[in-house]
Amino acid sequence: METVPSQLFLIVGAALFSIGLAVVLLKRHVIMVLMGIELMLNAVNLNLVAFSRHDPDRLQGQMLALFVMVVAAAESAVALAIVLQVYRHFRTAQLDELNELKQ
Amino acid sequence: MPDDVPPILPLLTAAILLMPFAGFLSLLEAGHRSAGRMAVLLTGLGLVASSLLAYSLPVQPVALQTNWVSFQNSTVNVGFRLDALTGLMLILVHGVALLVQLYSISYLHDEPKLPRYFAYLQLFVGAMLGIVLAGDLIIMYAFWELVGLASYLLIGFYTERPSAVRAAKKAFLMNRIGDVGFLIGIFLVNFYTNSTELPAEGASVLPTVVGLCLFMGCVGKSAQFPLLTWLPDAMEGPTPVSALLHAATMVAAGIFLLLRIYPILSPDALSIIALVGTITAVWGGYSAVFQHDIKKVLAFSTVSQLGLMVAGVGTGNPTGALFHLLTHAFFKAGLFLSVGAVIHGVETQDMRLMGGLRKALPVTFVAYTVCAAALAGLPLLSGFLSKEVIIAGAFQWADAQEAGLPHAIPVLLLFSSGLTALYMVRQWQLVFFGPYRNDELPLQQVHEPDALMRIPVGLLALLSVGFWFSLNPFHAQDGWFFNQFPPATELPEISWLAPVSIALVAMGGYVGYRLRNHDSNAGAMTRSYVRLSVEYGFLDTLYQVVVIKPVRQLASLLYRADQRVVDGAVNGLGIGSVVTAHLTNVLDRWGVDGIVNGAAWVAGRLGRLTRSVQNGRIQSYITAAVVGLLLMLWWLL
Repeated sequence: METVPSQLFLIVGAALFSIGLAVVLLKRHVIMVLMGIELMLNAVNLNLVAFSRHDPDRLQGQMLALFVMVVAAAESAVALAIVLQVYRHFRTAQLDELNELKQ
Repeated sequence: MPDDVPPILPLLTAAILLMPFAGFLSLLEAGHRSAGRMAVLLTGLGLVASSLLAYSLPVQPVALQTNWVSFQNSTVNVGFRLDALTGLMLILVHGVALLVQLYSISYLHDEPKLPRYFAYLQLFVGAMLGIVLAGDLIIMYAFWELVGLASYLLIGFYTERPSAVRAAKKAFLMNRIGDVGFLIGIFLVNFYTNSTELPAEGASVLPTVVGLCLFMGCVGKSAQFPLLTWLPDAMEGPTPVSALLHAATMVAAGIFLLLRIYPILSPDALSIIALVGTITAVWGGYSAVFQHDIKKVLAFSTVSQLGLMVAGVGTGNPTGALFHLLTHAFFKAGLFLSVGAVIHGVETQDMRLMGGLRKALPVTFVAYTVCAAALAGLPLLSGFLSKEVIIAGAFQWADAQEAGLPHAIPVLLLFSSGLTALYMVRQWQLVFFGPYRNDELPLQQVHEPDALMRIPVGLLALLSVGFWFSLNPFHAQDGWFFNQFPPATELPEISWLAPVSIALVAMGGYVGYRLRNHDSNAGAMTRSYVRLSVEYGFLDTLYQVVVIKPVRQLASLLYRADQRVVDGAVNGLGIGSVVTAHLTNVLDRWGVDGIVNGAAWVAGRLGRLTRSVQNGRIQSYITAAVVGLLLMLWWLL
């Protein structure tokens, strides 16, 4: 089986990270921003998994990817809870209308 | 103070002096009805006190003196002198004032300013009493000025009449001219004798100029030539005021001053005084001849009689002057009060609108006739006695001088007494005889005034009879007056004087009677000798040209100079500062304000810039974080 060169993984990861960053920066809805964050985390995971081929004995990269997924799940849960509270409080989830941080 | 002064004298002096001033202050606030009664009561009390004082006077003059101000080496004393002259004048002033005030109650009964009128009268009387009592020239000067003030207030009493206000101002200013001379005279007396006390009997003679300066005060107050023009104008005051002013209070002050300073007058000064008095006597007498205003005739006759008194003093006969002052006070007050009754009846002062009033006003007619005859110098009446004393004294004086020119003075005085008869007869028959000439007021409505006005007039007429002063109808030297005031030198008996003066009076009377036709003739008024009399020798016109016009021109010149130069400088300064202010304003706005506003603007922009970063949007924060991270990475790698 012909091995896929590492550069491709890096390119896909970089693209995925960039798209995630763009979504985080440009989307207006909080949920979409959270999605962008997930994308960025997954881009990082892709890199970790791709580089773990150079460490076949201990698979440290894959282990870290698993950790990242666990933490991401927890983060999503907390973030969604915050979003829910924000929505309840402000009756909106549009980031443009939430500028409480200015205070 | 000597020990033998009766203790009652200082008390009486204080009472006499303080009562009128207390009256002045309280009458200002008095009610309309009570004012007159209060004034009469006060003056009556003053009369009683004066009589008591005159009765208890010792033979020697009494001087009450106390220190007022002490400087290092000179003191000013408050002094009062009480002697026979003081006693006589006190009674005279009080007596005339009492009658005038009684008369005023009725004469001015519907005047709204009545309390103020009586208050001014009290001030007037009080000031005159101060002059009479004063024993020191400074004190006398103070009361002298008060007399001036009171006369100003009373002459201008009808403040709604512009002519009255003008007359009051004129009287005041004319008096000021005399007062300045008087004041300089006081300073000169102080310079020569180192005290301002009134000269005692037998004091040494001072230089002529001192006497003349003091005489200036008399010229002003007693309306002597050339300051006589204020007296006829002073007729603008209420008629009782004229009576008081002409008889006892104001014009008598000048004569009284002359009597007081008589010892220090040098022979030269006396000659000039005699000359001024004679000129005044003739001038006033002639001015009275063609007047139409009933009061102005009397005013000029007062001027003339005052001239006679001054000439009496000047010819070394102060006793005669005082005697004439006394007799004149009664019949002149009587004349003014009866003329007041006439004016009250016919409501005009123009004699051309009177005539035939002897039937309508019989009491006034009799009183007026007696007083006028006394003034004209008819025998049996007081004026005859006193005039003769003065003229006899003048002849004696002229005999003592070099022959020739000095004799003109007694002759002119004799002539002026003939003039007196002339104008008095003219007035007498214009007012009381002939047809009644006023169409606006029918004769039936002309009525005699009430008793309150008739009694004072009658009393004064009674006092004008010569019997009161001397039992001998042709000679006063044996009467009580000359016992009380013995003349310095025995006056000679001039046997031809009485017949000559009677003849002169008769002649004057005849001319005066014939003058009647003159007034109905309209063309007569333009004749130069008539105008000379009516305009009193064009003295006012002369003042207008010589004094008033140049002063006014100077004033307008100064006014223009003021407007151009001073105002110009001030306005220029104003404009300059406004321009400077505008410049600084611009500089301020664009310069100082510019810097301040610019700093504020920059700070504001900076603030807005920095604030725009912290806009509360999470995504912009993230962008900043990412950009910052990238920059750091770029810098690190």
